[in-house]
Amino acid sequence: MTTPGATEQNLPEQKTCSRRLFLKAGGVSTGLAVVPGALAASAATDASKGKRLAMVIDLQRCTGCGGCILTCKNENNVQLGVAWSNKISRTVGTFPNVRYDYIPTLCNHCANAPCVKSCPTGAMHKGHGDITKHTPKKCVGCKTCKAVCPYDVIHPNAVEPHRFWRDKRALMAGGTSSGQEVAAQVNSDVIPYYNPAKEDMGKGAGLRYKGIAEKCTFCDHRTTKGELPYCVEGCPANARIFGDLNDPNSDVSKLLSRYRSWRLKEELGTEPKVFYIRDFNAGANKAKKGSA
Amino acid sequence: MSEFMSEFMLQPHLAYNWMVVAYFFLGGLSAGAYLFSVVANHWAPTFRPLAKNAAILAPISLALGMFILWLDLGILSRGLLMGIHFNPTSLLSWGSIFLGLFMLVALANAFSCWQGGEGCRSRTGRLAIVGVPCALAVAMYTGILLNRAPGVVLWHSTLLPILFLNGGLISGIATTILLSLGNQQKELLAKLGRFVVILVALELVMTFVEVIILAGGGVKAAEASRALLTGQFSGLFWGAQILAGAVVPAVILAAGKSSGGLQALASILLLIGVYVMRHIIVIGGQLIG
Repeated sequence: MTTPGATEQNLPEQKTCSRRLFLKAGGVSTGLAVVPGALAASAATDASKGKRLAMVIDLQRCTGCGGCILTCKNENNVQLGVAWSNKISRTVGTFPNVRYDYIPTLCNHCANAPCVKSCPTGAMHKGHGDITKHTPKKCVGCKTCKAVCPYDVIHPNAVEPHRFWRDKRALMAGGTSSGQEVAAQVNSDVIPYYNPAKEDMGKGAGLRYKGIAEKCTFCDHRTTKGELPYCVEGCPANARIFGDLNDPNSDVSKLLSRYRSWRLKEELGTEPKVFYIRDFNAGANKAKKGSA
Repeated sequence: MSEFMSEFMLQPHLAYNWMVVAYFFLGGLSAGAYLFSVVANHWAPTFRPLAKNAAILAPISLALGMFILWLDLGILSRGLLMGIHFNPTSLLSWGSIFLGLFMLVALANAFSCWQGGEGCRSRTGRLAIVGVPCALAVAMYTGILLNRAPGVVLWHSTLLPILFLNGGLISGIATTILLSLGNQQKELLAKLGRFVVILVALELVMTFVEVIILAGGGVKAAEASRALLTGQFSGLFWGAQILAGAVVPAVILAAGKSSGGLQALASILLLIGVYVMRHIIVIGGQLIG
């Protein structure tokens, strides 16, 4: 483990060849993933260029398992207490007439994003595919993006990220090892707040420091290579459909023309690009003439 | 175990905490003090003896406010990035430009007033051509900045920048009164105090107009107005902002007593009232929405 003060300058070069990327390289046609230091996000190979990427979440397929939350944490190395992929769950009504609602949430990558408009340095900006992106190197940590975001999906790091892996105390006293011991055993060259999934995105995107904001990126490190975001990949119910709104033949376009869709807080005019179709509780009521 | 792990979690926290509130307060105070010094120097010769204190107060309180704002940044060493990158749609970008300009003007103005002498009036007058617009911008941009959050009803008000400017004037003049208490100008201060009462009355009127409009403005807005009037923030709102922070000092100042103790008490209460108003708007907006 390197010290907490480590910066992008003293990151080991071999980070680019993480095991996961090596595995991925087998399935990806571009050879870029195995070239250390190469920026797959360069415009020439960017599969999301010229697209308007959006997600449709089919609530009737969704089982509310929370798999998207876990896969997102897995893919993006999201730290404790933060969930880029999150959910709204609530019970409505009074017993015995109750209904359970489950709405998976993530950054809406608004077409008219308040965070982008109010970022003083342009660290929060619109990237290829109309994705709302964040450049950690430009972020000053003013937290205005969090203040103006109506969806509460932007998380400024209040404390040093991934502190657990530097802590000497045992998880359970006398029972388990400490985070620091585990990190030492793994013998990783990767600093604890380093986000290996982002290494292709350049501009310090693999790093998260104390103080800067972070948020869901629609897995831009995957979409630029033409892959699906990992929450889409990991959804066991196939409830997440991802694609290009500009393409009338894409699955998202077809679903949005077939079903009535809604978005979170549409009335605010932020033009979210995460759409919800159908009903989590579909079929809960048996049809009967003249009564509920 | 969960208790242990929770130590490493990012606790849910506010985007704008007390540091931002303190900056809003000190920035407004500074702009108000500067505007008062200009008015006293050029349009209200009665108050000219107080202009020097106000002029010196402006850059000091602004520097303190900017220091607190800087401490609130996630990465302190990156504060200067704000000067390098510019986003025309970001109120913060514009605000930082006006802050920088206003700081320079306020310093020059304070220096001129400190030196006094013959050229003081003409120099401060020329500075005011740049200084007054900058002071207005510094006092009001924070209110417009809050208006940019689409989801917060408490921040959705055209009155907000005006309320902030008025609060800045009140706090700037109140601090000037506090600083001038030792100068044996009790009658003059009493006169200024009666002028402040007009500003406090305006503040009260605007606050209630705001709350009345909120109360009738849809489900979320009505909820926010209830939080202020009877709910979570009612103690602060009625007790600190309205009663202790506005009504009581207004009554003291309106009586026009030239007792230094009463004037000091009224000024301190006014400062508390203005600070609490900003606290309720900034923190309350994030908590009640």
